[in-house]
Amino acid sequence: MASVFEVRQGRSVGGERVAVRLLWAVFAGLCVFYSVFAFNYFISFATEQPIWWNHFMAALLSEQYAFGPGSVHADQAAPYSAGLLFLLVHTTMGAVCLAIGPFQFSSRIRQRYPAYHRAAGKVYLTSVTLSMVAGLAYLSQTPAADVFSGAPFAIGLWGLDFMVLLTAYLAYTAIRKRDVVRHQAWMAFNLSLIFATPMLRIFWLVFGWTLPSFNQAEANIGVMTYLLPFCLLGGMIWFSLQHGGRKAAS
Amino acid sequence: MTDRQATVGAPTDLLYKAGLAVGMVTALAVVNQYVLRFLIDSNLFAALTPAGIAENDAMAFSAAPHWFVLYAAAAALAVLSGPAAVRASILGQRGPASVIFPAASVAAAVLGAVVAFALGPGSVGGTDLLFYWSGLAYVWLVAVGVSVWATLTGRRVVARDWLIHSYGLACLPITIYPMIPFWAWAMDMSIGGATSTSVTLAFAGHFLVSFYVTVQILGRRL
Repeated sequence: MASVFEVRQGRSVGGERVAVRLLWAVFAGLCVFYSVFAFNYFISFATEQPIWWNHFMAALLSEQYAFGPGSVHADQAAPYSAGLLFLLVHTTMGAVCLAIGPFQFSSRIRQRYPAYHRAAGKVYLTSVTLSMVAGLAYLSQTPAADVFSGAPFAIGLWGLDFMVLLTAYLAYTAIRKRDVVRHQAWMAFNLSLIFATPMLRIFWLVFGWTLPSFNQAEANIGVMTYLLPFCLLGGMIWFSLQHGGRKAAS
Repeated sequence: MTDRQATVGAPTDLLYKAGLAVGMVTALAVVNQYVLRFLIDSNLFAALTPAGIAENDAMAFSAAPHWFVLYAAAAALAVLSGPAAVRASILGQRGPASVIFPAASVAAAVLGAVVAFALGPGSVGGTDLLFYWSGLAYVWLVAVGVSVWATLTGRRVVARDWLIHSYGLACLPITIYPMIPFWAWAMDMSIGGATSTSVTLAFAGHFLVSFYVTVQILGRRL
């Protein structure tokens, strides 16, 4: 299929390019910023230290929203303790993906440091696989009703984990065939799915500010239905701008 | 027939026929759920609407039937014109469907949210479905907007891709309706919980399928 897959680096121009770079900078900043919280979460949970994300949320919203009934902190202590090993692997590996993933899309880095790009790509694919397998192991051992927000969210997480693994596999097989365009397509899709983690937390904050009667669990289930498509839009539009030149091939 | 039409004709025809079949079933389901079940008491998914919810929905319909009829018409028009619009885009042609589909999609996205709020939190799925319809309206409008922008700026591959993504969103009911009783049965969930689960999986799943079609099957060539 590679022969019919013409690489058309449809470079955007002017304001469009500036807008894309600005949005990418915001995206990368959010990913790296949240990766610190993700890395800290279960290490602090395991060592009974203050969890940075919870305190950050409490500072922005309220102690009640961050630690009260319906919060992750209050509702998930027991299931998290039971599945701590899987969750440690899941979040620390996920944090690695968030920290290095956005920079894999920098054409400057890819062109100047191709060896770094390949090495970081291998780390990303290994991390994302370990993270999702650990997530699935946690979901397997935890009754669906005990997952945060209950069975609907648990099934949503199953779906997310499988989609991440599938798209990572498609991205890997594409680059093994030197099919750069398809590789970029599936990596954009994959990282957009990973981005659902920080985006979910941003939505929790937005719900906390705009709908004060909601607790975290209610906000979580309210966001759940459209979270992934919301994140995927960004990655899919990025791919379209990179590989959708003005003139169609004939 | 041009060389391009000859090259891409067979897979395009297959996609068109499959899309049209999906569209016809989806249109039937939507018209039944949003109009016919109130007018002729024929509910294809009666098991999904327990008595209390059916009463809530009937009251909402009788209060503002025009919104329901308009939404059903727009959604049916979108799913029925989508395959022709996609086929025309792949073949580099423009026909009536190239205008009807985006217009019907925009109308269905907005009217779907209007109808959801008319049904209110007393309908199946409760408040969660209001968030879903709001999110769907946003995502669908962006998808149609990107396809229109790409058409106007001459990016034909992008226009084709986003027409396909928009069509995937138009066809959401065809996977949501069968999934609801499945999850209710498989996980012993309430209809509301099963509905939230189904729309979550379908919404993301349709994007995955439409992206697969554009990236793996069609590629970047027109």
